[in-house]
Amino acid sequence: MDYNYYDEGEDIDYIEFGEDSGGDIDYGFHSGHNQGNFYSDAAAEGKEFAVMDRLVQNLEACVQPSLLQVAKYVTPMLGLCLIGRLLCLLYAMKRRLPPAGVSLRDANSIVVAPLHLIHATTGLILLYATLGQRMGERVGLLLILSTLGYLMLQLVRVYSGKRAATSIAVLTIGSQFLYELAIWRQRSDWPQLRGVQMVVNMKLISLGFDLASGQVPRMPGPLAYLGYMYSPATCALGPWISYGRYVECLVARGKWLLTLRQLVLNMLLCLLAVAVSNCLAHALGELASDSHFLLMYTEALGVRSSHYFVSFMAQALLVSSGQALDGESKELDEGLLGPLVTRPWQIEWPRSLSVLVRSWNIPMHEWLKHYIYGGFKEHNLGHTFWAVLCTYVVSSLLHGMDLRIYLVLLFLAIFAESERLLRRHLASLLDACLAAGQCKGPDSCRSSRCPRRLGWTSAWGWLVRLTNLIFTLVAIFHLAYLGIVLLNETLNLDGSPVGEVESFVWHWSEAGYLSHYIGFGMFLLYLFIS
Amino acid sequence: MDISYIFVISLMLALCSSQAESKQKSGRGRGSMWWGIAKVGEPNNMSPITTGIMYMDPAIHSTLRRKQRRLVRDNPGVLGALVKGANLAISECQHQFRNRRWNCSTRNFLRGKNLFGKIVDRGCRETGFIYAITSAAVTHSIARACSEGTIESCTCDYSHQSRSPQANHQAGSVAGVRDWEWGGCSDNIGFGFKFSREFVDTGERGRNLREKMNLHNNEAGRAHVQAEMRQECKCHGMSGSCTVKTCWMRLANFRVIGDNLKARFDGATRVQVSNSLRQSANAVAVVSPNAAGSNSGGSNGLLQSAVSVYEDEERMLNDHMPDLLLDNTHLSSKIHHPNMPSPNSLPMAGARARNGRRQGRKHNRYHFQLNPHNPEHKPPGSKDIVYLEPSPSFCEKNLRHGILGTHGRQCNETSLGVDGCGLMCCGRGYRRDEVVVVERCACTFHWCCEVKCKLCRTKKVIYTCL
Repeated sequence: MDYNYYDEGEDIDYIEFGEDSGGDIDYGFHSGHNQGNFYSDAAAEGKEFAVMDRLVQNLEACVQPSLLQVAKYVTPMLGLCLIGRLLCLLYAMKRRLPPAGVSLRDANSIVVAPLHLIHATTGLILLYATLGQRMGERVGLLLILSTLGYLMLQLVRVYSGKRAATSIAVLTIGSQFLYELAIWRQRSDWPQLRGVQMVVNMKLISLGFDLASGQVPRMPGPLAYLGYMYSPATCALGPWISYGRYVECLVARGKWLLTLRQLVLNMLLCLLAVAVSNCLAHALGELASDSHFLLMYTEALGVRSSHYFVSFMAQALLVSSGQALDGESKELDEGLLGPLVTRPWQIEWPRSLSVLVRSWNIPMHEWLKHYIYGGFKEHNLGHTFWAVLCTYVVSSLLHGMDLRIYLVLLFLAIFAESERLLRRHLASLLDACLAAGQCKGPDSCRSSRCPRRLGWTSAWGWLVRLTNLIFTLVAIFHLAYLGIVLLNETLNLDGSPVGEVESFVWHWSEAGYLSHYIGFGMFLLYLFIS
Repeated sequence: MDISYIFVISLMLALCSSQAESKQKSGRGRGSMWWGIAKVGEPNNMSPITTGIMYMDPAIHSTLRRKQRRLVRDNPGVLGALVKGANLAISECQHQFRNRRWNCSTRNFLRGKNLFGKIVDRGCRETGFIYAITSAAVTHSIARACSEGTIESCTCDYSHQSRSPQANHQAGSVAGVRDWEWGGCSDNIGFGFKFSREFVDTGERGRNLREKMNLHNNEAGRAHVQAEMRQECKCHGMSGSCTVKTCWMRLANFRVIGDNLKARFDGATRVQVSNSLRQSANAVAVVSPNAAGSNSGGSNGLLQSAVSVYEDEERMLNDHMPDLLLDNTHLSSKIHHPNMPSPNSLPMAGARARNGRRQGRKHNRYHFQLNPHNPEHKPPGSKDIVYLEPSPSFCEKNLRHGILGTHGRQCNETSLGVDGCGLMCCGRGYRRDEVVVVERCACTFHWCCEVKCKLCRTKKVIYTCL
């Protein structure tokens, strides 16, 4: 410090300050100085204050902008969905369409055509409005790709039955791969379009299978096809819906009050999820930096809540356009939130990995189960193993060329399967409620040792509870361990996201590859017992 | 057609500059009148701080130059951020200099005068710091306002993002903004940086050394903001796709920037006019790749900066010439470079066409290298604060120079530093008073998140300079 720089006559220049000497500045708590009443022992509390300061700053610099951006992003989408729904309702009232809805046979009729048109238009406007700049070009690209899909769909006319559907599936996935190769290299914005295209592909494949199996009696006309592909509820963020469901909900006759309640609830959860994902998870990670597991857990929490965010947003869109989902589960949460894309509570506190996988993306799970796994099993094409493997491959390929997702899905499949086998075996061996799936309540529990039936005093009941708890904790560990792989490094403006692969490998080695040992250990234990 | 175009432009320039000239005769701190907007909306200005009325506030009219007013008009919502930024600069400056003889006082600010007083007329360290911290604060608050969405023209607006790769290349220094285009928000720091350049540097043309000093210090302030602020973005979407992107700021506390700038203040570099201009032009042309390299990173940086430095020297020679003539000659020499990239992405609706040609020059005015006063010292870097003349002692009240003196200031008896009574009171001696202070003490931190304190009465000794 020179404080006599102003002595006239002699000028002293201190330029030993290099370019980078400003780096080591304390980030401590400062704002106490302004008020004049400083804390007497501020040094002792420095750390806590710094943490608090960071949290407050975080709130200001991260949560607020994130929420605003999300609100700005979502509002036009919700508005378009509501407008589309309203227009359809008005048209149905004017034309006096039957309240039972449109049957699949009439889906191509001229009376219904305007409904498809409304859906397709609002959906395309939605994409146009949310895809960002050069949106015209992007929407054009997507339209070209879906036109190609429609051409592929015509294969059903050429071939018949399963062969056509299978070839459509293969062609679709192959073309997705080609797009990845051809377009991804060219366009930096492909990751943005990929999500949209993925949903389109899933719809296309399901439509192929449904046509082949006769569930959809007639080939949808071009307008119906476009309406299905670009229905505003599902075109931007998914989830997949079947053609049947789409036609069923062409005119949504839900209660508006219920819609509003579900919408608000979904949006609140969505905002909460984005705040956690962007800001809070990271801040918590900084707080919990002592333990590696906690660090991994919080980082993976960011990944998970990012998924919840998108799912809740998708749910809000579904609710606002009155679109129902496939799958027959009618639960309490459905009344609260409307159609469910994900069940975070079953992911954050999972009973087992397989329950977790099922709850992650419910429509996608339904799709895989119904069309890929089910299709495979139906024709007895081989052992269950091959069906599982095929499901895994299709699911991976659908996600595009992303090595990390392949890796996560692979380990997830192995761990979940070995856990499921072990628990099934244990359940039958001990006649206790230990299976991977939830026991269906006290009456329908098939095993004799069911904690709920045994009550609070029985030792067996507690033992079963404890075992299930241990499995839950193991699943949570797996979750953090695998979730860290998908950690989408925040994009610093200074450069490309660095060390994605290194980062998760580092985390894994830091955790001692424990999850792998546990996963394979379970499998060995299962082999040993059986 | 081309000639009439030039004529119209030069006429406009002439009008503009002559008006500015007539408004402010003391050409020293020309670009600094806008600091006065910190006081906009204060009760003594008798105008409520509602955005609708703020535009008509006479205080704005008197503090902002014409181009600045246009910028404010074309970017709705920016005014609030500017006011916030100016106040941020003042409070940070006063915090950093609370223990110094000169304590960044804005007490005797009068309408039509400079906010920080006449100290700005001198080219000393303190002036350099003021310039740096104000431009940094504007950059900071604009960037923050962008990410908060209060400025309509910068956040999730796609209209201004269609920038050519060339311009992008030139703006490479601007916050290192990568062109990650879709969804979410555009580059907030980039906007803050560019807006600050447009707004803060309006009056500084880099014609004489003092203006160069101001430009350099403004740039230094912005560079510090850029180094400390990070915009981070995250993708959300179906399984790893990037359908939704959200951006936010990571750790952007202005105190850190203030600390860094204060450190640069302590190590500021004195610069000077070279003895022989022609010689220095050559020397600078050799040195300049360094400076230009850090700024543009472009392959043509050398050429451009050499040219611009040459022009700058020419203008320095012609410093006494009236503005009208100067701008004319300048334009006519510039017309031969029609391919100047227009590096700007600020939405200045009506002004774009008019400004098209001027912008090439504007970016070039940052390509210069100042020489240290002491030739053995290394030339100042882009983040260093520079000054021209040694500071006055700030001891005695001197209204002619706008110095308040240190009479009545509190000092620290035990300190040997500048806040110690010996140095602070300039050897005049000091008074010792005992006062009873009620303050919070024995504070404990309870998880989470409150601090509980007791109130203690303590006797305190206060020393005041005579």
